[in-house]
Amino acid sequence: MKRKSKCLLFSILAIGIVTIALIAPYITYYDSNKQDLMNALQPPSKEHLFGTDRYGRDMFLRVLVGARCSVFSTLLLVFLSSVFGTTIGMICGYFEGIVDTVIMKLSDVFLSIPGMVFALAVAGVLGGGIANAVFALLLISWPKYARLARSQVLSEKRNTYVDAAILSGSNTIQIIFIHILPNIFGMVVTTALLDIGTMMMELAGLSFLGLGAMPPTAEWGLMMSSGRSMIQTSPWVILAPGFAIFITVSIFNLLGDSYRDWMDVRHKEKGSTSK
Amino acid sequence: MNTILEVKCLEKSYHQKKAVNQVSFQVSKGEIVGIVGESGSGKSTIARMICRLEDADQGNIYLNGENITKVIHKQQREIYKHIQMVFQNPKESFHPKRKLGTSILEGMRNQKISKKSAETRMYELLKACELPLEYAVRYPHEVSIGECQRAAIARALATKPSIVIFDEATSSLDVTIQKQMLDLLHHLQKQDDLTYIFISHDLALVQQFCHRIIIMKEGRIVEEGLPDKLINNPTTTYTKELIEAAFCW
Repeated sequence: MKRKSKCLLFSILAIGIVTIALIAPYITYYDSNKQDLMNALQPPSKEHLFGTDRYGRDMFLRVLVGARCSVFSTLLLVFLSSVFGTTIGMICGYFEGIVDTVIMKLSDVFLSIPGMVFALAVAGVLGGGIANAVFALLLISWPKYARLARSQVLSEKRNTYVDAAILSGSNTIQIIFIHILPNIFGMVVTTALLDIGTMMMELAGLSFLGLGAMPPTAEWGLMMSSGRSMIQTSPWVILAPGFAIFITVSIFNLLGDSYRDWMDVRHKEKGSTSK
Repeated sequence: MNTILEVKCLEKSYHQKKAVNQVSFQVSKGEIVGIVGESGSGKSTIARMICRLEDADQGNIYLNGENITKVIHKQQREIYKHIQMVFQNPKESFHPKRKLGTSILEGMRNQKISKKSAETRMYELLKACELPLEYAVRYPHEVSIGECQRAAIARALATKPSIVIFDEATSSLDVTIQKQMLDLLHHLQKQDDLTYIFISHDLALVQQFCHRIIIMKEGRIVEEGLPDKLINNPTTTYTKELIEAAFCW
């Protein structure tokens, strides 16, 4: 019960962040990109909670609005890589044979290259922009899900309930997606939740290096990058988006951990009941 | 008698070791055939090949005169209208996250039987298998192993098959539940004129339950015959050993 409450608490916090990201542009009273050079690099005050950047833009406002780009692009990236990787992995695990060998060798190639270096190369070739950064990271993140799903399907498909499903006249798609998927879903969701933090950091990293979101978009990684030269004179410019990344990554990591703990307990409870 | 199932020269190897070697037998309609042998003798492999859960390396399987040895896709799904199987561990044979009723309905729904008719049939089967109707909304971990095996029998009978294969289906049950289960199977067999292939390593149980017994060892049929004749006049040393082991109490 304690684990369930913990999971619920972090779910509420994560939903809170997603809600902020969703409604921020509609509830703010200033244009987050509007420049006011007279108020450049103002320290945090009542008027500007997180201070202002070198163009006089309100940092609090930009952190709120930046959540949309940072959080949603991360969620989209994790969703796409988990769905794509899991589907590929399930097909490989179920059919095995030549298809499995070819795709898994391909995933080995992707896994053998340092992820961030590969993403940098892809983003460098494709050019800047958040869509290209998401695509670059998608290329390096799907093999993890494919490997996970494949190993799970390889073990699940030997279970008698899959034989029973075949005998009930289910076709291959029904067996993979209706019978096997629900039994590996918890594992995939846990991995995806734990991946949100990592992907957010990597996406912010690409933006920081100028290969992600483009100015004047409010995006946390890009905001940190543009403020890095002022870390000694105006630290709030880099601390505000840095703090936002820290809080968001921590909440999603804790959500992933608590969800995994909760799933473990449920699994054990079901196991003991059946005995 | 009408031959409903015929197995001819069936062979299957795993890692160059023959699990099933030149096995041939026939099963007539309404007959209960017991296949007995020690673990690893190839009994379950034969059952799995008949149900197309495994591919045969050689040989043929005929269902109502039609060769089903290599059927795939739609034709494979067609044979499950006629052949069903009940597994050894009932809890593992049900999807852990689906209600028993959903699993029982599945075969009928896959045969495009309307939801209403399928549900009516499901409740009839639960009643026939002496299970309370509310068990349709229970999960496998919420019922006992005996009740789960009854639900597995209901699922196997849902599509009105003519042949049901029981692969060590009573081995995981305690003696009293085993007796109840055999009574139930006898009743259902007489009621619907079903054909059973009953796989077990328990010769005493098979003697009481089956019309004919096939003894297997190391993938081959070593002896075949009527239960009483085979028990009283065994012709092979292996059958004698099995009899001694089964009736030593």
